[in-house]
Amino acid sequence: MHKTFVRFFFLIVFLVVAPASGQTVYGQSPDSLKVLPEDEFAVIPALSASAILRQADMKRSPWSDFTMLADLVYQKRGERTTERFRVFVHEHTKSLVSYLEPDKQRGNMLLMVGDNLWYYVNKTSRPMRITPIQKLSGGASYGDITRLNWSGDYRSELVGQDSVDFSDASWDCWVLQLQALSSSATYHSIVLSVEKNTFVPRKAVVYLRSGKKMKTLFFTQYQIIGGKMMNTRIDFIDHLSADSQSSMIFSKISLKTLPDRYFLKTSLPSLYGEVVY
Amino acid sequence: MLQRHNTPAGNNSVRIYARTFLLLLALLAFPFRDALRAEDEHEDSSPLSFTLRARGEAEWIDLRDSRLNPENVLGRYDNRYEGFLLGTIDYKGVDGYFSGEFRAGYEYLSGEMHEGTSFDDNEATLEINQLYYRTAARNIEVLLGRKKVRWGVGYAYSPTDLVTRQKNPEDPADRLSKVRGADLVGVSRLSESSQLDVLYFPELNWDFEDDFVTMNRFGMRWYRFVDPFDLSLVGSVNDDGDWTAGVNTSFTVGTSLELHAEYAYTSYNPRNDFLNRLDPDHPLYAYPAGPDDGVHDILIGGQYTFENNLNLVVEYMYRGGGYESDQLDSYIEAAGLWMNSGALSTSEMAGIVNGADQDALNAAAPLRSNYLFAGIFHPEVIRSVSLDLYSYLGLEDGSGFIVVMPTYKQSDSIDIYLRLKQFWGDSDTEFGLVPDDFSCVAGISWFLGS
Repeated sequence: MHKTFVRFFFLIVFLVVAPASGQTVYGQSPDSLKVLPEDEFAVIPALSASAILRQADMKRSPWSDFTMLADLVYQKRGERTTERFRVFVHEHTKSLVSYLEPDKQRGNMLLMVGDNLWYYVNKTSRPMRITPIQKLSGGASYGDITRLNWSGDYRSELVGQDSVDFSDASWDCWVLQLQALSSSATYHSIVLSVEKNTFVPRKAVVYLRSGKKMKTLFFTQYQIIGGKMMNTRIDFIDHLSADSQSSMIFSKISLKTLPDRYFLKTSLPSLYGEVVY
Repeated sequence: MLQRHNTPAGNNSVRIYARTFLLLLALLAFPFRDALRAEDEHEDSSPLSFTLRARGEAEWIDLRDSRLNPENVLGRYDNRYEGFLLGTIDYKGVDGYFSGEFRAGYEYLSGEMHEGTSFDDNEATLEINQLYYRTAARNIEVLLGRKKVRWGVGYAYSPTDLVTRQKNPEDPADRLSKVRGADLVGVSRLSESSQLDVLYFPELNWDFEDDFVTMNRFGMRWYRFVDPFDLSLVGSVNDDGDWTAGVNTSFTVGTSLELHAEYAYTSYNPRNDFLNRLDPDHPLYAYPAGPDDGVHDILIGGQYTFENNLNLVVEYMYRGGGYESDQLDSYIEAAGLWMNSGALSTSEMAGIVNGADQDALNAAAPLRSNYLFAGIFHPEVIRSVSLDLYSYLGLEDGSGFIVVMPTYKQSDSIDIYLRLKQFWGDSDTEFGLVPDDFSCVAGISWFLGS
């Protein structure tokens, strides 16, 4: 009798609580992004916001150690300009970028270890400590090429859903609000759209500390490499420069165990023969 | 005639250490030879690469009646035309890596003496700024040749740069590529977050007159990264027993601020070192001396980058070898007496003037002790135009100079720039003694390719 009463009690509780936890989702207009109040969610994703973010990170940096070519394409004085870099990633938290083109920058390097950045000018033979806000070229920041892991830099919160359109493609996405965990993160805050079923990042809108919209990133191309999907193209819109557009294209991705000495500031003057090719 | 400060016993022991070091280096390198293969074979890469850049400048200088050069009695030039080619070459081979930097230049100078007599001079030079071989295996690197070695973290000046010539506040970026590397042999041991370098970098006489090695010197640097700090301990010692020891650090705060600091103690005063090398009967022997003891050098500075990419650098420097006010007054009075006595030749007098000029600009042996450097850089103030602006101020007497340098990026290969420099200071101040008042440089830099 007692057991029957308990089971009946929990059944009543379940029947009362379950409908109240259901949420309704309203569609979004294709070209706008609105953040919906929590009670309008119709479907709760199977993963938490942080888990979604980790899945998204894996699409940008699937392996612990690898190298790749990065081409930054942007408009300069009305002409299409390309800068080329070779990127070495080690243990997800260390990156070395060697400048290959244009020729007059060849041999310069950028090193990132955790939150720390150094820039090495080949001509001066001296690496200098720099800050994350210093820009690369076009609409890209140093962090766009060296920091491929959001989970370590940002706190995430699931705030809604969106449909992201770019060119002729459209993706249904979860929307995450990312807040910098430390002042060394590339951006102060990001609104990140992650495709629902694949957890592929599709769009990121980044904001300055002042709340000003800085730029929009579209993750437009992916490739299967070594059995893993990886982002191979980012298109930027720089809202601080009259919405100028630039693109970062990753290629020649190669899995490779890299030596620790590549990621030591004092060894940068000695690495030319090994990382500039 | 200059005499060397000689300690025969000290020379012998350092020579023994030098030869032992070289022998150990050879024994160390040999077993690794078979292991010194490229860590990876790079596709589509040539073992040989080179770059070539040309630069030309025309400079017009407005001289002033400095107490050390009234009416340009020393015949300092007021027009300079200079052009040079700077080439770099890199070759991967012989289980290692060769690199070189060469500068071939031509300079034409002209001016007018106080009585209206014109003069000119010209010089062609070929300099090897760097030429070295490097090889590495696992966590050991070996280096041989001439190389620029920078251990400091300062922007305008670094007291812990013990190996290569110190940085120059008047031209921190070495735009004329005149900084030459040190001739050295070195070995480095690297780990995940630290590096130990030991160098033998003697003074060599490449004229091959008298001894080829004129001074034996050793240097050491231990670097460690302790997040978020870069930390380096440095030291050097030479034949004469003169030594320097120092420390430097740098770190960032937030997204925009970088801070750095250096300290070095040198066991001798560079200004007195010059005096100690003179014969007692040399006219300059009465040159006023600075403090006899070792000197302390301190640098504290930082840079801040604004959201619009404007970069601001500020550095404070303390130079322990500088004169006190009364010593500087004695120096100026003595220099004036020498100028008027006729006891010195024109070239010797020019040495005093150039000494003041070089002291003020190259920071090798400063006249005073407290300085402030401030610089602003913006990569694009208006379309295709960047701006460098920096100033160096002597805090004791308020004299100094300022440089403004806008650069127009005509294309990816060609930069055209203007460089304006203005000194200020009363006639009895450090920068007031410099014979230059104002100079204007028009220049072009052309990257010829690779």
